[in-house]
Formats: sequence, C-alpha cells, structure tokens
Amino acid sequence: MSSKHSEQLVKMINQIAANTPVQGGGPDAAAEAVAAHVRRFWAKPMRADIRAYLQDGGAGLTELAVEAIKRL
Amino acid sequence: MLHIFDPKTQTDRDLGTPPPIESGHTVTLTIDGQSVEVPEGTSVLRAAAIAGIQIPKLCATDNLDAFGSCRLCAVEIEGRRGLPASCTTPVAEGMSVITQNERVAKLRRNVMELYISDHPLDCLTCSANGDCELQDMAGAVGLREVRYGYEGENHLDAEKDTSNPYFTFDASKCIVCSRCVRACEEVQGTFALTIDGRGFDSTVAAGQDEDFMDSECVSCGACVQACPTATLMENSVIEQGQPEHSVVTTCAYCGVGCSFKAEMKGNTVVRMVPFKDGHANHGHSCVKGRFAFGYATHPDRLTAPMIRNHIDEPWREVSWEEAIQFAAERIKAIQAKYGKDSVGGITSSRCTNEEAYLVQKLVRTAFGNNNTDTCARVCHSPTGYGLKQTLGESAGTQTFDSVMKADCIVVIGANPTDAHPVFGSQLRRRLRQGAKLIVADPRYIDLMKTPHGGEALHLSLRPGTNVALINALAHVIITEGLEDRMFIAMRCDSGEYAAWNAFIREERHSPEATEAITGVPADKVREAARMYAEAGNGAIYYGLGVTEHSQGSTMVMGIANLALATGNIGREGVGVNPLRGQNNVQGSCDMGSFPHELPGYQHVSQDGPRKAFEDAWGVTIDNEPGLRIPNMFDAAIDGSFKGLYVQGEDIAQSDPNTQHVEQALGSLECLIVQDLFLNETAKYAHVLLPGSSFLEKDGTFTNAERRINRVRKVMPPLAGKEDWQITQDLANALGYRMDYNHPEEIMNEIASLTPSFHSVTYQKLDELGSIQWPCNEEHPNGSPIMHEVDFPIGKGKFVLTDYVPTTERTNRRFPLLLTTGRILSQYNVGAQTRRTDNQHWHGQDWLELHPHDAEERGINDGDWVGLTSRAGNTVLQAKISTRMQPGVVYTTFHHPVSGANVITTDNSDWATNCPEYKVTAVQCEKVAQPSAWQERHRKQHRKQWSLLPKNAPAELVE
Repeated sequence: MSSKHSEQLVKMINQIAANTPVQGGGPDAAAEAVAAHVRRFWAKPMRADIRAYLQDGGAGLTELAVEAIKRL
Repeated sequence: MLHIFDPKTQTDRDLGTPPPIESGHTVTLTIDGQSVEVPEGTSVLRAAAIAGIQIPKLCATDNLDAFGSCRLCAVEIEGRRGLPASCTTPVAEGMSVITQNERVAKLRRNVMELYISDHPLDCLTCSANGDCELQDMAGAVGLREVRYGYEGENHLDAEKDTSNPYFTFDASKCIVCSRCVRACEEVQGTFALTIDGRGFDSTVAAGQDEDFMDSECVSCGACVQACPTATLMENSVIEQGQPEHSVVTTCAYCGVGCSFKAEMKGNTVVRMVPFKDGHANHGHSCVKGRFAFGYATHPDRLTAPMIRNHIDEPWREVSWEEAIQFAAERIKAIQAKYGKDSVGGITSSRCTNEEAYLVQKLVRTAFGNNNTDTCARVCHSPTGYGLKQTLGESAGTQTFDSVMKADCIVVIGANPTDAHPVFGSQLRRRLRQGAKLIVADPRYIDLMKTPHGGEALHLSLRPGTNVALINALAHVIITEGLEDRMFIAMRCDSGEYAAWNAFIREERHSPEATEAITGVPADKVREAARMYAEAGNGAIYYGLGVTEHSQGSTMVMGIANLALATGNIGREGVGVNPLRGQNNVQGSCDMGSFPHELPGYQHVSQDGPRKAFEDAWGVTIDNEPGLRIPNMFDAAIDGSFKGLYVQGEDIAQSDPNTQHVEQALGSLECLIVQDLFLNETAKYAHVLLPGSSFLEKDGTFTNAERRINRVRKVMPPLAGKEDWQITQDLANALGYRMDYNHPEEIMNEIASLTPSFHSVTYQKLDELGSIQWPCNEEHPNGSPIMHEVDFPIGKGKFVLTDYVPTTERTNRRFPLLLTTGRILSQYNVGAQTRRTDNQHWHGQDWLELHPHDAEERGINDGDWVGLTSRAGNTVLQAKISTRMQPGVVYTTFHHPVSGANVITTDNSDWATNCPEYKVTAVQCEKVAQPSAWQERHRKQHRKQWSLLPKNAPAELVE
C-alpha cells in the first residue's frame, strides 16, 4: 500500500469519525457506529488496509477512528 | 424493427382553453342541441371540443389562458346579445349554444378575410404547408374571396429574423394572435416577447425590439410551438419539410425527463416536439431537449468498434466480435494475474435503466465482484444515503406538479431555470401565483428575479456552510415553537426526536451564533425559518449545491429533519425534492449500480435479497461492498485495480482532481469505453465500443420524481448495436450467458427482483404513460407522493447534524473560494451540447468574479485569468459579475479545455465519497498564456485524435 493510498484512507475514516451521527451511548456507541458505517460501505481490501495501517502505528488517526478500526 | 407509438389521446387534442380550477361542481348546457356536462368554469369553446364539436379558433389554444382577440370562435348563445367569443365565455347552467349558423359563419368569414388580406398567399411553398392553423381555418370557414385585394398597406415585406440558430421569425406571416407572447409569459415565464405598437402597427417584438438572439429569449421553443402559422418555425422544418410520422419518447438531457414526440421523416428526426401528455413536462421544453439533438448524427460519432494494445498506439477498427473478444480476453487475463477484484465497471446515468442494470449484473456475475459504481457517485450519492437514513427511501418525495400547491418554496444549492429549465418554468408559474421563495445559495440565481414573482429571500451563504445554516433554521423553528407537534408525535420516532430537539436547541446553532460561519445575517435566517414553517405547505428543492460537499450527506439529513419537524412530508405541495442532474441518475441508482447495493437499494450483505439475485442469476454474489469510483482510482494508482468497463460516462472530465484521475486511468491495463464520442476518458482506453444515442434504442429512464418513462427507438443504432446488446455480448464473451431479445425482458427481470418495481411492465407504461415507483402489489399504478401514511422504516428519523467545517479552507495563498455549476444551454461535460448550435450561447466556460475581487487583482472583463488551487491550475476568461459575493468565484465545467476539474480537489463527502466540487480554495491572477495542464491537454487531444483511423471524423471539437 502506497503512502498516498493510506493517507487517503486515514483522511476518509477520520472524516467518518468526525461526522457519524451518534445519539447517546458514549464512546463505545460512537466507535461502533463508525465501524458499522465502514463495514457497510468500504470494500474488504480497504478495510484490510486500514487495519494494517493501524497495526503499523496508525499515525494521524483520530482516537475515535482507532477505536472503530479495532472493531472491524 | 421500429415500433410506432403515437397515441391520439384526448389530452393530445387542442381543447382551446385550459381546464378550469377544480370546484367540484358541474354545469349542464346544450351545444348544437347536444346536452353536455362539464366542470364549472369551463369555457364554451372547451365544452364544445369535449363534446366533439370543433369551433374555429386562432388565438386560443389549451395551454394558454383565453385571450379573446381573434373573434373566430364567436358563437350564438340563446338569450344573449351579439356573438360572444366562446373562448372567454364560461358555461352556465341551462345555456344553449349554437356554434354554426349563417350569422356566425358570415362573421367568421369576414374575420378570416381581414386576416388573409394581410397574409402572403404562398401556401404551396410555405414551411407550414400541411401544418398551418390559419390555412385550416380558412378552409373551415369557407373563405373563397378577399374583397379588399392585397394592394393596400400591409406587412408582407417585413424582414425575417434568422438570428436564432434553431428557428426563424418571419414577421410577414404573423397574424398578431399573441400566442407566442403569451406562451413566453405563461408557459416559459421569461417575458421576452411583447406586442410592439398599436392597431395595424402591432408587431411581435423580442426584448426591446431586438433580434431574438440579443433578447432575453432562452430559446425554449414555447413560442414556436404556440404559433399557428409559419411565423415562428423550426429551421429544420423549413429545410426538410413536414414530418410524416412521430414516436413518443423521453429526453436524454436533465433529470426532469420531458416527454417528446420525435417527429420523423423515415429515419431522420425533423424536430422534437414536447409531448402535451408528458407527465413531467406537460408540453413544455427547453433549448436542449427541444433543439439540441443534432449530436446524435454529428460526424464525430464513433461508428465502428476499435482496439489497441497501448494508449500511444493508433486505433484499429475491427468487427464487433473481435473488439468484444479482445476486451473479454484482456479482462480475463487481468483477473487471472491480479485476482477477480482487480476489475470493475461504471454504469451510465445517461443510459437506460435496462442498460445500467445489465452493466451492474455483468460486474456481479461475469466479473464476480461488486466493483460497480455510477456517475451518481459524483452528484447525488449523498441524497441516496441521507434520505434512506431519515425517511427510509433513497428518493425524492413528490411529483413536479406538487409545486403548484406549495406556499413557500425553498431552493437550496440548485439553479432550476438553468439546470432543470422545464421544472424551473413550472416553479416560476407558482411564484407568479404568489408562493414565497427562499433561495439559499452563494450565488444570485435567475429564479430570484422571476418576473411578477412574489416575496423572495436570498440567503447568500459562504460555500461549505450549508449544515450550519440548516441547523440555524431548525433552531429557530424549535425554539420559537413553530414545529408541527402533531406530525412529530404521530409520524416520527420519539426518542430520536427528543435527542434532536435537545441538540438543535443548543445556543451554538442559533442564527446569531452561526452568522459568523455562514455570513447570513441572523434576522434573515429567522425570517426564512418563519416563512417556511408558517407557510402551510413548505417544499424544499435542492441540487448539487447540497450534495457536493464534505458534509453533503449531513446536509441532506438536515433538510429531512427540517421537513419532518414542520410536518412538510406526505402530501401535495410539500416534501424533500432532490433535483437530479442527469436524465437517469435516479434510475441508475435504483438499478443497483452502487457497489454496496443490489437493485432496489438492497444491501449486498442482506442474505434474503442477495439469495434472490443469486438464484435468478445462477452465481454466488459477494456479500461485501465493492469499490466506489474514487476508491477505484486510488486502487488503480496503488496497483491493485487494473481493468475498467465504462458505459457512457466521461470520468476524465467530470470527476475532480483531473490529474489524479488521469494518473489512475493511465495505470489501467484495460480500459473499455462505451460511448458516442472519443471523449476525454476514451483517450486512455484500449477498447472503444460505439454506443447508441437515446434515439436509437428502447428502454426506460427514471426522472427526479421517480417517474419511469419509456424511451422508444426512432432510428436504428448508428454503429449497429444498442448499448444493452454490447453489454450482453461482453458478458457472453466473458463466459456468463445473457440472451435477452428486447429491453422489455430486462425490465421484467428487474421487476421480478426489485420490490419497488414488482408491478412495472412495458404494457402498463404504455397504458398509463408513465409510472412513479414504488409500483407493486400495494401501489399497482405507482406512487406520486411518498410517505403519505408511514415511512418504509416505520417512523421518520431525526438525525443529529453537527456542523463540521471542510478541511478545504482559504488562506493567504488561496484567499478565494471557487464553486462550480451549470448553464442552460450546455449539459454536463458538454459532449452532446458542444456538438450542437447551443455553442452559440456558451462557447466557452467563464470565470465569474465579483468586481471587488477583480479590481484588487487588476482583472478586467474578458481578461485571461490563471486560477490556482492546491490541486492544480488552469486559465479561464474573466466575467465580472455581481452574482457572486466578494471572495467567491464561479465557473462551469462544460468544456474540457477549461480544466475546471484540474482545480477541484479530492476532498469528498464523509459518508459517500461524493466529491466536494463546490468548495475549492483558489487564487486568481491575470495571465498571458494557458496553463501547463492546458498545453498538455491540447497536445494530448491532437495526438489522440491523430490516432483515430483515417476514416474517422475529420472535424476536431475541442
């Protein structure tokens, strides 16, 4: 995976984390909502790439994005 | 085989005057001894026509209000003095009308005699010969002589106005019936025409007595349609003569989906006439649908399949079999080497439902993955997502006609008079009747200056701040107690509403707090919120100015929140109405073009629907979503995506960050392009499959109101195959069997697998004219208004819509914001309209900028301006305009050489990846030469054109 590609995925998941509407339920619910969105709309290779990126350190991912990726 | 479909229905006849406003009462009268019962308020002329009695007429026609000027429709009414005009006389209970006796016959002959005394007697060589109401009426009244002679003062030497490329105004043939003037006012709403002078000197004049082209005329054709003589006549009829048969079909331009009669001579279209019984357009048209069909037979059309091994090689014309075989082998080889997920397809929003369905089916069966997407990705994908989340269905809620019952019309990020002109005219009609207008747009749009319109409020917000504005509007509604509590209690989820109510009440959403973000004065926001909430019927219409943002989906949900909170859902006159860009954007989405959804918006992970498709198609379907278009580009650059089949979409021109797209396309080992022309994308292709225009195939389009309209073939495909046949051949060559004989069979399959289409058949479409889905066991004739009783998800859902600013921001280097849009005469990437005389109106894209920004940079009208963003730079000619607020510049993207998308970035909507076309931070400066990208583009264009075979079109359209 090129750095440009991972940069794009990081941007996308951070954006999802910042925008996904969550009504109550705390951080767990928020992480699950983000993860659910990603499961619903991201192709499998993209999910695998973002998981791999997190395992490699996950630089630039927001806290909520990290929690969501852990659930994928 | 061509099937002629030319219904002679009651509604296709001219009944003389429009139907009256419904009162629920009827009136019985006697006409020529025949008892007739008609609705109260009907004119005598119309009542007679309904009874099958034709009263001669000239100034009357049933799409215009009665005018009573020609006096030809005079009748005798028992007990009344004189001979009243039947067009302006309403029926009355017990009235007895005589339409024919010696007295009225004499009057009519005298009237005709006066008309003909000042009319050229060149009927045999006249362009209207065979289609002239004046000629017909002279015959009907039995005119045999003109006692006045032809020597007196007359208008026979009046000059022709040939300034419009599509029609001629021959004043010598004008009878001053005012039908053209009234059509321009009542039907189109432009008020470009008037009657100049008085009495005998009365003449029809465009604008301030200018040529048609120099006036405000928008060339919609309503005046030509209304003219009873040869005064306003299509140039194509003047050149070719009267058509001999016609076929009713659907326009392939915008999402309004106008019905037209393609009037033909053999296989040649003489003219496109808006179909009176068209349910979306009711006999109206715009300059594109009415006149700009010449692209279909333009010499640039690709007419033979072509292949090449590398994009720097010349194209080789080959047989269909060889081209299809070549494409299939390449795809198979790529999948063998890189895996089955290394290829994908893009369905076209310009092709038919059946064709879009077939491409996604090919991807899911023959390719064996879900890597299918459509151009809706870059326009209305947030609509699909946002409305599904809130209302439970990915579609607009109304019919276009519903606007005629709206009391307050909110237009957000849309420019209907340019982009959806026929609906724009209908909207203007409602504004003239007194409906209030609120426009939320960074740019001042023409709708704001509707002649004789009512109250209008412009919320000129900063690009990228939609969500802050919609939250502020909702905040006012909730904190001022303007919400519809009954609707909320009955129709919406109470828990979600309570959470949303608490959220939206927060002070940070107040107009006063958001003013600094949006730039819209708080008092104006409050006024707008009250106008919408207290109107009675509030209707929201929105366009790409809502969706093409990093928060496009959030804004769609914010709009739905607003409609739910005010109870403006589920009846006529209200609703949430996305104005779709291309003719079949709604349809291509419905047809399962998205990588996560099967036809009918059924997610691929849902076992039940997926199994139904697996059983019908005989394959196993991946239960994981595939790649979206931007993901395909990223994967191509990353090296994991190698083959793409593109049906009728020019991604190299229409998608953002052109240089990124070009890099992606250049990385592909097999790009199959199926299109009418050598478009920008085709320059990167290895296989070119010549597509067919809408005139050359059967099928259906679905417009912005979910209306399924039939597309009917009027001529054989230029290259021999309809698009669905090409897809079928490719599937077969890839080893997946498809053997449809006609698109009707494809629709039957769609209906069997898609719950919202279960009862759709071609037979029903012919019977009803059109159908708005859902059309199934529950709604056998379709559903004009949605969510009348409940939502597909049960209760309406309020969603929290936090404003998150875009990361695309101005700074010292890029101090201006660029936003993009469309213009009336051109369509999307311009591939079609640039190959017509519509070029006369908009031969290039301009950069509109505010005088303040221009002055600061020393830029004058017409200067060449370098436009630079973080993504790239291009050069456009400047147009100084106060339509823009200071700090915001604007351009269209109809011409490839403009490179508007070289500037736009790869920022996108958080939920759907719909590009953020509407917000790009830029700088402008005066320059003397084109940008480096434009130079490269010109060189590449010339090179690729030179690689076409010798017998390919010689003319070069840049």
